[in-house]
Amino acid sequence: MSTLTVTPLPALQPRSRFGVIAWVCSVFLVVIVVGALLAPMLAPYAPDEIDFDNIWSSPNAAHWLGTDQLGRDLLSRALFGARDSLLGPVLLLLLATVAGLAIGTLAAWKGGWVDTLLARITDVMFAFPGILFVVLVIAVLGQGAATTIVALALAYTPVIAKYTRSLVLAEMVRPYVDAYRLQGVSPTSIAVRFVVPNIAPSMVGYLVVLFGDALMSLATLSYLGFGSQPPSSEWGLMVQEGQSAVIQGYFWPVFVPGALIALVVVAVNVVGVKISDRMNARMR
Amino acid sequence: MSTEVVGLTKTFTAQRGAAPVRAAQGVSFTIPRGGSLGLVGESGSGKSTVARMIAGLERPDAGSIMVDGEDRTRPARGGLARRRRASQVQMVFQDPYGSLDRRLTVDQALRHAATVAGAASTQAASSRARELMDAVRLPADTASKHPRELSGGQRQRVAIARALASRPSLLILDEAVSALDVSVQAQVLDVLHELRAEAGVSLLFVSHDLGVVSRITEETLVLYRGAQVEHASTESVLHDPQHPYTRMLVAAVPGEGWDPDAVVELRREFERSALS
Ligand SMILES: Nc1ncnc2c1ncn2[C@@H]1O[C@H](COP(=O)(O)OP(=O)(O)OP(=O)(O)O)[C@@H](O)[C@H]1O
Ligand SMILES: [Mg+2]
Repeated sequence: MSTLTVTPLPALQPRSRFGVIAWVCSVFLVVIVVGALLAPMLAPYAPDEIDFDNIWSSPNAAHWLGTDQLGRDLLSRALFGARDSLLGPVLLLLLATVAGLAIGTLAAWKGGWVDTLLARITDVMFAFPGILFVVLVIAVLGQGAATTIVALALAYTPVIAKYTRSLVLAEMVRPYVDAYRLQGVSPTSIAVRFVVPNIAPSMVGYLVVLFGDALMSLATLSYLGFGSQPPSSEWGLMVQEGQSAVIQGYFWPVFVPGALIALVVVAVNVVGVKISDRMNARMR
Repeated sequence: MSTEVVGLTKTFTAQRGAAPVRAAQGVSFTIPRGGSLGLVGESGSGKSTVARMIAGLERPDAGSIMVDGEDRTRPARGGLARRRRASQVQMVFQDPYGSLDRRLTVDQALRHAATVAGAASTQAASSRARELMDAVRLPADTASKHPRELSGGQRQRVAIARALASRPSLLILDEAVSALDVSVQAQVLDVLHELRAEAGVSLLFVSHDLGVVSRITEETLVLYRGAQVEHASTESVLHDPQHPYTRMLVAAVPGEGWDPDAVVELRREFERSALS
């Protein structure tokens, strides 16, 4: 903890510059998001338009990224698929963050049985392979995109709760919290109005990392047949449907969605770390 | 109205294996309204623990704390009691940066403090915030700054201003000026002198430095390992220390004829006497 009472010289302050790589990643993400939003206008073909005369074609003038085993245009499918692939992680993290923040803050702030309960639940969850838990929930709730999102949200909640707990515990011992106590601010108000906003920069950084993780998990579940179902062209599903092509020696149907997943995960991590650094720099 | 502390005791039971720490052993004193007491002792002698117990941030094992006639030994229950206690005791913390919410500007922090302390409207809170800035002589252009943009002395003045928002009867200052350089220290001490004279605030001034304590308090209490070894007027503590530990602290005050070797020698002598 910094107890320095000296203000560092301006020149010595870390200049949190955004950097070329971060800019490239941001532009890439914007392109993907805009592509997903405007898919109906941008896609050259309908995502499910079958063309048996043109199966497994490599990239060419008519099909920029080639076609799959039914002759469907891979670019169009990837654009429409981006909607499911990107919205899924956002929704599940939204659910998990609301629940995880509440539980983690409560556990740190109240201690006692709330804390013990959280510790037990996270122990069990961490001992359990994540995918097995999710598949179990899906077995109970039935398969499909919505249940996969709920199942993954349940899996991520204790993870976020545990991280929140550690951040809140570290924040609670800072003297400004004692100062609020002395002013007579209620404990709930201190926690919700002051402590939680103060952990936000660290939280944002963590959520970005989790976003990549969640995107991968969702794609994996679709790939296994648990998540999005055809006719969706969610990227994990595209990889799965493209497998037959690889056996035949055509790699584009797998490469396009696979590369998109990898690139989005990397770009989100790069941009997220920068954003969280900036938020932190503004607060220190 | 005054502050009466009787037999304050606190023992920290550390982790397994380690011996329990007796941070306070029967500390008793009275500070009259507008009066001031210096709490001195070396690092780890229990000064902060005593201060925090009086502020209500730590619960004593035994003893009682009365401020303005209210028993503060037990934690407050309910919003009304919390706000009443806030108007009895406030504290300025050792770490001026950590004690400010880094998200809030000076103005936001002070307006919030004023609102919590009962300002009737947003206008009332704003004017109270300006009043508080004047009281600690913070320049007007610091109002829109965040803690990270302030100097150490300015941060400490913000902390004092915030503590004054509830018009406390007792202001506890835990090493409030120890981290500041001498000229800024003098400014903050001036502010404190004014507060005592104008607002009748009592002060509990905690410091390891007897020299600084002597510049602001009438009485001084010396703590050694949680026990109170000397309690007298600051004058007599400085010029006629009774306890060998106090003699060592006095010798350690920098100034004319200051001799580090003598301090070391006194320390040895004291430790011999403490052992026997
Ligand atoms: N929460 C705590 N848990 C366990 N031990 C503690 C706790 N707070 C203080 N102590 C111990 O109590 C003793 C007195 O600590 P305290 O902070 O009151 O000393 P101090 O006189 O303020 O020292 P300093 O001048 O370094 O601030 C120390 O040995 C410290 O380690
Ligand atoms: Mg201390």
